[in-house]
Amino acid sequence: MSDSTDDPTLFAAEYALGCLDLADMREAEAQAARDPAFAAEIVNWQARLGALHMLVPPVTPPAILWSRLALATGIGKPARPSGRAFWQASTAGSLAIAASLALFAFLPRPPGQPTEPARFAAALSPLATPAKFMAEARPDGAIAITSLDGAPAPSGRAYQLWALPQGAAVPVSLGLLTPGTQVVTPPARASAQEQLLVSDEPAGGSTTGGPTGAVLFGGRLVPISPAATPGR
Amino acid sequence: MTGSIALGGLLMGFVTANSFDRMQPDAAPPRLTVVSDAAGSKTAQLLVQCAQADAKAFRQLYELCSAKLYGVALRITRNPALASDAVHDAMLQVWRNADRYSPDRGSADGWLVSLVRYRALDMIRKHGRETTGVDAPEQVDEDPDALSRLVADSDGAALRNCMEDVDPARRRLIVLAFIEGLTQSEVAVRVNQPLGTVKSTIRRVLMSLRSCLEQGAKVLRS
Repeated sequence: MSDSTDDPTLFAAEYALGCLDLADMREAEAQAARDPAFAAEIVNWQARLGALHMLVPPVTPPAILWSRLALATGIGKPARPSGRAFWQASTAGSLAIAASLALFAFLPRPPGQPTEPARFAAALSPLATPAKFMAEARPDGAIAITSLDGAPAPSGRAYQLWALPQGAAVPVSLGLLTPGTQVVTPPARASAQEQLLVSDEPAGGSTTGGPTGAVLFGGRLVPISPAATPGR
Repeated sequence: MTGSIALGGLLMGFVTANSFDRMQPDAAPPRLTVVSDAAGSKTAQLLVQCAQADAKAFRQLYELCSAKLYGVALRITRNPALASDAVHDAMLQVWRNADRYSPDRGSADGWLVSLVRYRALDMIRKHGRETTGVDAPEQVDEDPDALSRLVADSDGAALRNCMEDVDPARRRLIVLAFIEGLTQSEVAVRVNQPLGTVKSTIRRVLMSLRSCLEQGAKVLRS
């Protein structure tokens, strides 16, 4: 327990600064919930110190973040002059997967119900197995893939990305993966149910034209807009 | 089915009752000690529109602020998935509770950053900070010109003036805690000083900043 808890001003300041451990954070929040003056003190400190955020350089978030927000808020057609639903306008033909064992499956909004919140479903995977990569097929045919933990392949090894369209027997290399987000252009436009696979390869990648090591991660592309459904 | 779903530790999008919400009393508006131009900022305007369920404004707000918010969250969590979750949860909170913002609470950007910071801090305090995640960005706190970034608005300029009066070694403790979300104990390890020394130094700097900012506000009001 912080020895500043008996000084409301200091305690509020330390909470706003963000230097308290979890127990003291919870104590401050409980105190704020029952004491409006203490809550106001925290807000005062936030206003005093808030400008410090300007010291942090901006970092562009993964594109999938907005998709998640649009789904969670049920926003169907924001900021698009065409009047079409956002998913149709911004991600027409786009597909998303969550690779590894977590699959994120988007179902299209039923036609004629533009104001109904977005519907989606998910295949749940064991919580102990976090996803490694998130990939999104863009309307222009490119695939953006993000390493979610930012960790590179083990020393002397490489992660190689492969596309395996539905019905195909031989995967096509989409290149080596590096930490962060990278955009690759597949030789053929991605299609629904196509699999993206990541294999363990020697540094420099496979030299045989196919995966030589274990396929460590995989996921299947699923549509996230009506325009991306098969047959359209 | 509507809402967001947590998947495999990846898409943890649940929004819980946030502590920040609970500490926003409608009564007793806070007494500000800095002069704020919050009401006139683009962010503040968009927040007002979001409070009216304006989806277009929400999208614009995201485009305007997401890189800043993600940068803040990433610096604290050092993990892209957790940083995404922090921004997701905070923005969802904004969409649902944008009416809770008022210029009395300081700058709109600062308010948004607060939402993300508390969410990110909560995550790393509960689950620990990733040690194998993204590499530490440049040491902004040790950049001699870092304070020059604090000029984007009047809040920043006032804080910069007061921070410049603080000894750089002491100032660093404040920046480490705010920017990286380090606890006092973690700051002590980072700067290789006794915990008691770090605690007392942080408190002295905080009090001196408050005094300086209040004096500056008085000058501006007079």
